[in-house]
Amino acid sequence: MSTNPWIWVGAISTIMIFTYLWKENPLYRLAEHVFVGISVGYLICVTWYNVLHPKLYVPLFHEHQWILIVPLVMSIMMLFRFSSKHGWLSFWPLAFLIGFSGYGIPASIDTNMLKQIQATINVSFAGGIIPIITALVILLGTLSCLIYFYFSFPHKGAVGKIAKFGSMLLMISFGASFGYTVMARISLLIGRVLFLLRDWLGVVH
Amino acid sequence: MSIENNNNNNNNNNNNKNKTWFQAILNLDKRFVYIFIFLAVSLPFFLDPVVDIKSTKWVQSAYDLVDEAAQKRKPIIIGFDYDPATLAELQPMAVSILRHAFSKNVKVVGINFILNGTSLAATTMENIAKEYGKKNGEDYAFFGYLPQPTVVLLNFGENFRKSYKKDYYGKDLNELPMLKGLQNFDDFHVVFCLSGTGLPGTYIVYGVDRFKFNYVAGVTAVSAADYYPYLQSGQMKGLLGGMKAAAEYEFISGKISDGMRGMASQSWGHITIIFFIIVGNILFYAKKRYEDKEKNS
Repeated sequence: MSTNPWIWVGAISTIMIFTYLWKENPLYRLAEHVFVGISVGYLICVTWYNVLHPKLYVPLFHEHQWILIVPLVMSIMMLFRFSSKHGWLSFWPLAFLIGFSGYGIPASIDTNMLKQIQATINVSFAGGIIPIITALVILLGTLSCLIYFYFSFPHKGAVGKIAKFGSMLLMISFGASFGYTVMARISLLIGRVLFLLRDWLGVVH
Repeated sequence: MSIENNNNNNNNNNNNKNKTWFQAILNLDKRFVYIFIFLAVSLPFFLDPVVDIKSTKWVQSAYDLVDEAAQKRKPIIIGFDYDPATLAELQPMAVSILRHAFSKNVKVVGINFILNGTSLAATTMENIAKEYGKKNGEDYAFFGYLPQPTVVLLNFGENFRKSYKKDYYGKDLNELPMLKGLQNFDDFHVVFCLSGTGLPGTYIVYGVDRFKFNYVAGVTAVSAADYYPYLQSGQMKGLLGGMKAAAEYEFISGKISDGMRGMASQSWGHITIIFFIIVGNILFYAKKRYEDKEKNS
């Protein structure tokens, strides 16, 4: 069994959170509140030491880079979001942020749409039977799924059959995603169980 | 008359028995399911935990890129963009990649855009570096946390010193010997982003597509399916999806750790869930049939 007090804190916190599986209880509530409190405290500390101190406080007040007054004022304006009377002041820095995010629109279109379309058009049929099957699945799968979401034609006859094939492929992909989700959740449980059994109790190595 | 009554009573008793049997199982307290899953996950740790694993093409590709980095004597970047919530899946990947890199004398630069994972990343790098006798500043460097990954990645494409002046420990980056001559993505052989958030996508939009570098994402199993299209388009050179990918990486590098150890539990956990799904479906249809019969009679 571990003699490290922090391992004990981690183990007891884990068990307190797990008690929720039995039912809602004060132990779970306590652990939840402690977690939220510590996370916020940690967030404030790291933000100060990694961001605000080296990138704002030191350059502004020690190196006198006065231009940094602009982001400082904008940050303060953002805090007016909590005021019902002066909340409009937060719209200015928000507008700046939203404006900057516009920079990402062409980049996102290029990355997530144009490059994907290009890759689908240029799919390779060379290299044997399996690559051919893979290429066909990609090509026909993409087209049939697109037809499934095309509502200008009634889904009847050949269009209906292709759309149905597309919907079947979508169901398969949802199933794969769900399978991955189950795997992820089990992995998280494995992480905690291994921590309790190995790091805390020391019954497995 | 009495015989008819007896028969009716017997039928009613049987029906009631069936009903209670169905109801008892269908109304099984979910806490029993939790107990079964907990046992299925924890018991394999007491038995032989190693499961036979074959590596997938995309994990092998990630492994090969680190090998190439060793041959070309170029450093690599690891984005430790995870926090304790996804630790179980992503930490084994980080550990495996670090062990592989340090064992081949590949220098590593760590960055982080997830605030709650900052000290986690620093501790992981320190611990694995210690295993291989590697020194901070000479063999590895951790730049720490910065917000606004879009701006940081764009700056990194030109010169990372635009965003990072000092490392996580407060040392000036120009004083770190391993960073001499390094300036941007071109000077690194591969960039890894380990994250359960949308950050692997941000790396592609603001990094890969603009600056063209070898990129591998390590993601949680939940989000793995979303990233496969980037493999086909060549925007990603490798993909590590969930704990299984970590196990595969461990298998290739021949160093068994938490990933492979967890695979037996993973399998038994899945078998238990599949068992409950099958039993639940059988009972659902049996109950429906029973109720239809009851209605008809």
